[in-house]
Amino acid sequence: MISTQDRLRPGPAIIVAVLFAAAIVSAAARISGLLPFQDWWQVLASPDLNSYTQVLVHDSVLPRFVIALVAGGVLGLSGVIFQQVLRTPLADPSTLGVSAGAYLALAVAGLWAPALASSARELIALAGGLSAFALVFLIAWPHRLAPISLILAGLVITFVCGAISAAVSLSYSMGMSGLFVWASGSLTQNDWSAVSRLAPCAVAGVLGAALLARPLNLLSLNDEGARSLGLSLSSVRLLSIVLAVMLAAFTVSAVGVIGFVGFAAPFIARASGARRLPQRMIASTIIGAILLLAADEALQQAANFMREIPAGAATGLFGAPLIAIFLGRLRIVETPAPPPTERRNQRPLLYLALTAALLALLIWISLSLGPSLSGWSFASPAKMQSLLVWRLPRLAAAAAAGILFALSGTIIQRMTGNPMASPEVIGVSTGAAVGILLLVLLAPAFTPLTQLGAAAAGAVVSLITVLLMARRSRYNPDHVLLFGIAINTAFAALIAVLLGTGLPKVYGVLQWMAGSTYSTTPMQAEIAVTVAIIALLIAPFFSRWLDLLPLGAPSSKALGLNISVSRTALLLLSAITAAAATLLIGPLSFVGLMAPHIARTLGFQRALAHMIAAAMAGAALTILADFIGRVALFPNQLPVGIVATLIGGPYFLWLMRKQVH
Amino acid sequence: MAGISRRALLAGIAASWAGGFPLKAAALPGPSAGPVSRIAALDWGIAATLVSLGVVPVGVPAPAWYARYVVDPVLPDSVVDVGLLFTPNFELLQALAPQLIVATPMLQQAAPMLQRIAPVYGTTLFQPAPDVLEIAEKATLGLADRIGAADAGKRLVDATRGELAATTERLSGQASIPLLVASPLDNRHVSLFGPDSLYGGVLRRCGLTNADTTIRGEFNIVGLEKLGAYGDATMILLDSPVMPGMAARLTENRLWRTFPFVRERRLHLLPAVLGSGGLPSAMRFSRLLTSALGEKGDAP
Repeated sequence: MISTQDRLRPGPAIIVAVLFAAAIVSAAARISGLLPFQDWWQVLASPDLNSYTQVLVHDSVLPRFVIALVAGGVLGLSGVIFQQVLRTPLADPSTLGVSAGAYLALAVAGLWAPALASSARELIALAGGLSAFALVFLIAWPHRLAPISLILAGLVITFVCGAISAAVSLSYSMGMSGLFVWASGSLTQNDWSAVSRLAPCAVAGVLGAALLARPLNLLSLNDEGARSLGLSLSSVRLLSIVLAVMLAAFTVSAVGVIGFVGFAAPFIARASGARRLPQRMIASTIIGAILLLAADEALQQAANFMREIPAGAATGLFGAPLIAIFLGRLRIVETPAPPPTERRNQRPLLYLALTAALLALLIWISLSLGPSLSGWSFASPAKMQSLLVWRLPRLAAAAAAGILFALSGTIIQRMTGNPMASPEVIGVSTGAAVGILLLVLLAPAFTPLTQLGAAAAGAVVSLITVLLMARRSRYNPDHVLLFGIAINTAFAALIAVLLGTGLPKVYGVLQWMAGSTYSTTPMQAEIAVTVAIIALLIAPFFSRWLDLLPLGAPSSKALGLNISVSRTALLLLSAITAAAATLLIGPLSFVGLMAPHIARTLGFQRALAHMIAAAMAGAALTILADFIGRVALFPNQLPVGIVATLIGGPYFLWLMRKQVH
Repeated sequence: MAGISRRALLAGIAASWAGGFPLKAAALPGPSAGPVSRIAALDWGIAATLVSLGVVPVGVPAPAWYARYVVDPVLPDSVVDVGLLFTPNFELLQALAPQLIVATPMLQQAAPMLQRIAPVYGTTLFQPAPDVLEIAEKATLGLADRIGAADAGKRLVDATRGELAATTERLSGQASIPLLVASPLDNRHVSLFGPDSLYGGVLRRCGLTNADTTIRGEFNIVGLEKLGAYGDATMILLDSPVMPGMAARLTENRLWRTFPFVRERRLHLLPAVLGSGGLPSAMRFSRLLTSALGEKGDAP
């Protein structure tokens, strides 16, 4: 049995070897174009400091070659450790928020301390990455660092960091190009400093990994099994995570965000026949190094006849489809979903009325209160007339988006039986965002209707992908989340690449991505409200299905439900509502997660009441977010999506905490 | 009424700033042909052009960033911050009661709402193209015409041409020297500006040579190490407001010191110039270029 498992499958291994040979040939060809062969050794040992080509080869070509190998190897190693500790092949070095934290730190430093940001870039990125992880760690600690809580905490921190970075970059506007270059992971070098910083980390990482390999291997057993072997589970997990995070953080600080390598290398290692952890560690390190080197060599060769693309952007771009292929081959693990056990509300009407009253109060405050040049004031009824044209459309659009996200979230949570699922978390809104982004960047012209179409297409594609994947594991809640997170990561790489194109359109897209209701016209607001009302009117027809589906497939079938028809219809409804909401306030928010959950906490269990209460809660949340965004940094406007994320992130974490007890 | 006195006051400030541009203070909001004095400028290049035309805008987004990017002409403190560049605050703009809003096509999406406040005049002062300066001149004349300051517009175009002609004359001995114009993005990359950028337009108008004519669009992002390949070029390195002092820090690098333009003292560090700043920025660049190339290159 073991011998067949350990048999080296030739396919992937040979491809990697060929890639390596091609990269070496390419690098040699480039160097021989610069230097005669007999000078190579002399240049390596002691370059003539007066000769541009000699110093170029010694201080740029060679360190770039080495940094590609070192960074790729470190990412491969870090990825394999992450996947082992988090017990999912869908984790990669950015899963625990390291890249997002580094990016945020650089954006903030660039805004408030540009001099510091330009002189201590690596340190700032390192500090940001490690701080983000520290937060993730603190959040997951009460859960004994359970893999799923680490991943979810990483997701929230990534979202929140992303929201703040987006807010910063919107105020920073033109100064962003430097940050975009960093985020797209350029391997360009002009001295050995990056190598000399990263190489010792790599050596330390390899030593650490060698020491941890054996105990870490036991982590692939389940918790009980590992504990019965007398292993201090948390300490092994802790050490391994810290090691993998350090490796990821140092790589990010040295070369920026390089996607996909840390995810793909362990996968290819496994596919080439490496089964046991020490083997996979060695193979993954080597494969990661070769992947990044080959990608960078290919890009440098391509730069002869086109504009040079940074390595990180390219690996992210080409990696995204591979992630999708890989997801289809994932092993199925089944764990039963826990039944929801929350108290049922005895007086639903009273609670609905209270929620409605709160909503009305919020609307009134939001419409009448605001700062101006002469300070804060409640507008008089006469003054209100002139202000209404500014405040009402954006409020209405925000409320409509809140309702739509809430409906979408309610459907997804009930369908998957997972209180942590939502259109944002499982990648549906990211899919919608990619649809719109592609439309804006590629199509010569677009109308609101084609935008909705593009958003809906993106949302449907990603939701179907997630659910197809999830179907194989019978909608295991954790799996749905993991698939969604993987899709989020893949799309996020794509978005980073599109932003990195530097086209002037990008800034407008950035504004929309941050989720702004800012320029909503009265007519657009009317359309948005109409769509929300239609969705509200349609939703009750699905309430029977939504009551039955959470009971599980066998019970609902016994009750006369056509599972696939009802699932498809619900899927479409949730994708379209999420797409419309994304179109209104962008992909970033936690409304689709929070609103259904708030409704549930208030005790609304039956589908119909759940949906109505969630819609009201969603509207209240987005109205509040829109209000805060309008007044908090007056005259600057914070997009509603960003504020909603800043409210929703902590809520999600609080929710996770509650689940411990 | 308060509005009118304020308008007169602003016109006075504008006149004193412009150094003798005769600008009639409008006592009443006139027809569209008459002078417009209360203008919200929703782009820094537009704001700079308006100031040069002798009209101080009442509102400009993020004036603090204007001061770092555009530098010259200076915006007076009376200018109100109307929010961020891509999301000017509608309520605040309405409170300022402008007679005209001038914006670039970047704000197209907000145009329907802006039109509720005041007529919106859309203009493109900068567009990467071989005739980048002609585009800026045409847009400036159009803007000046729209605000009833056609004469000031012609004077600004003439002043720019005069400034550039003076540069042409003073640098006529260096016409054949290939010039690289770049700005650092970080310690490993620079934006290298092509012939279609505002800087490229100034070089062309002044009869100077751009060392890299292959760049399409405004600029290419290139690795620092590529700069050494331009053997006989002279480097004009613009400081970047978001990376202050980076231009100077690059000189610590060993590879940088092997570049021909560094070794042969053909490197000139210039303060920031906004690439989309219209004619005022073209003049500023031309002035800085003249004084830089008129001297010896900065120390390696």
